[in-house]
Amino acid sequence: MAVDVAALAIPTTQEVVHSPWSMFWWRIRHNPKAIVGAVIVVLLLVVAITAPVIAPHDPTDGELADSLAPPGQGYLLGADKNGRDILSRLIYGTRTALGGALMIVIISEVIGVPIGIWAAYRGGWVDETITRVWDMLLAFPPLLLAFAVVAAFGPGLPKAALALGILYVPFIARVVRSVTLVQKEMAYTEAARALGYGQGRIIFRHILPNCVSPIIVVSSIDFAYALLDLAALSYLGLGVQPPTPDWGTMLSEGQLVLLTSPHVALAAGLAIVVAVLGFNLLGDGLRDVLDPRQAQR
Amino acid sequence: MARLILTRLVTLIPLMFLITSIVFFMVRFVPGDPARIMVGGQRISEQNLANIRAQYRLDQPLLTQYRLWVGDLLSGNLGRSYRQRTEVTTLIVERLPLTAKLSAFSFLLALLIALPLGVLAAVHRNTWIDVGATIFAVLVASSPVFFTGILLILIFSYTLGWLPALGAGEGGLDTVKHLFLPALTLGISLAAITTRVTRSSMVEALTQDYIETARAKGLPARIVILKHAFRNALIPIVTVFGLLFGFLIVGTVLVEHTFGLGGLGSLLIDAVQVRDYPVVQGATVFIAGLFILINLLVDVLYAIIDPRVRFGGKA
Repeated sequence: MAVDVAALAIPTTQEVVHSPWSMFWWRIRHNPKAIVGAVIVVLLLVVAITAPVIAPHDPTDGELADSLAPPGQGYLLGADKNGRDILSRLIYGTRTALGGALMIVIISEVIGVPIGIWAAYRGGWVDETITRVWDMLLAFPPLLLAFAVVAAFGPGLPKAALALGILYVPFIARVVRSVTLVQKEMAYTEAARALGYGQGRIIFRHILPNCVSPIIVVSSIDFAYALLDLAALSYLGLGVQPPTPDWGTMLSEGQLVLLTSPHVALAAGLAIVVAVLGFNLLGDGLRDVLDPRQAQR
Repeated sequence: MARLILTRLVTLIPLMFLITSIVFFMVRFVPGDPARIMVGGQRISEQNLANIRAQYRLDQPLLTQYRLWVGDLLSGNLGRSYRQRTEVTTLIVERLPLTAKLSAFSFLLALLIALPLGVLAAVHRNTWIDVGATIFAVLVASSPVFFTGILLILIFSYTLGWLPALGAGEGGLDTVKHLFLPALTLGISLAAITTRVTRSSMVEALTQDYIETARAKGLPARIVILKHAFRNALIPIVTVFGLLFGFLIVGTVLVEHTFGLGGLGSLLIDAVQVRDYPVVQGATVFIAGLFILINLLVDVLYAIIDPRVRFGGKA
């Protein structure tokens, strides 16, 4: 960051124009965490999208004769108990994992962003009540309440994702509220108000665009948490149901044959670690890039 | 102090109220017959269903049900398991000791890993020790506890044969042996978070003027680091360890499942799997209560350590 400032301060013969985008790219390129995270995330996306093309076998159809085949001939990463190709299941599992986590993050945003803006904008008892409730919920682990949801509504990915999505609302709403509080007092918001613009226009044209970068940072970190929570639910048999290829389910199946065929559990577990690591690093890196003040702390 | 406890209770009791209400109303808002959901959707005669409705007061108006349920809660009655035909309180009392042992053991191991590692990383800033500690923290924080547990089982039980992989042992030293791997699993995960806090808190303490003074006085490095810097770095560290209780609860649930331990966590998960709602409801409420109690305890501890909190100043 210091180099950045120094470079800007040196008078040059040519007028150098730094657009916000070029600054953004410059910072990204000089942030190893963001680069590694972005590479992992992009790779995961590519794998998820091209799954039918790159998967060597059918992920749900196995040859029982190849049950628990070791990595190597025919199966790059071996086969599971039902003789299904582990690599193909991992590849399709990327879809389940990213899809589930995306659902959680989107649900939390669709509910959380308006609540955050509303709380900050209305102030008074509305703000007070809303912040009180989410402060309480923030203290309590989402996964525990998700257990109760599964017990009531039954297992399955959509239900688990909906429950977790709602429980993630405070994470995003809190950030949006604090950004809105600052933007609300900015001179340009005041100017817009003085010009007689309606509240809707001020919120959508002035406040929301300023919330975008903190929302991106929080989403990336929430994505990592969502992957972990979903994997935990599936591992416990409460999330994704077989035979859908899913990393958490694969891990729990792999644990049953851990002594004889550790490759099943290892492959699934490493996939989770890599994906979570990718989103964690990307989130951390983006925070450094988009919010340098906070990152220096 | 009394005022502090009182103000904390004012914020914590609504949390308890919120969580109990959520778990109470959830099952009643599910489409379908709550009585059938409570018995986990298994085949059952109309007569038995009617009995269940009467037992759980499902035949009464919703608000009456709620009022009676809260009354029961306050008198320590958490209801009755449908599957196990036992009081939920009895089940919890049976399972609690193991979970308590596991949590305490994990916490101890987390302290033993995070404090030295964090202090070392701060003292040797930007060296391979620091980088190593950071990589450890980031990697472990990205690994689900159950996978960390599986890796430890593979290494210490199956490959090296040093420690048992499953069960809780026969008591005494055998229990310690059996609980070591699960506790280490949770301990490492907790340490991943706390190492980073310990490091940054120590780095900040080490840059203070009084450290310079202590060094200039010619005090040995060990004393400067441990007595001057570490003591002052302790407050944020205590806060974070206190905040991690929620993480610890979820962690014990998962780790008990991985290592086949019959604690409170497995009670909850087994009940969720067979949809024994009274147990899920009771266990969740119990955990929420415990959670609130521990939070209160941490706040009090915090006030004892830091006089600024006690006297109403800003820490």
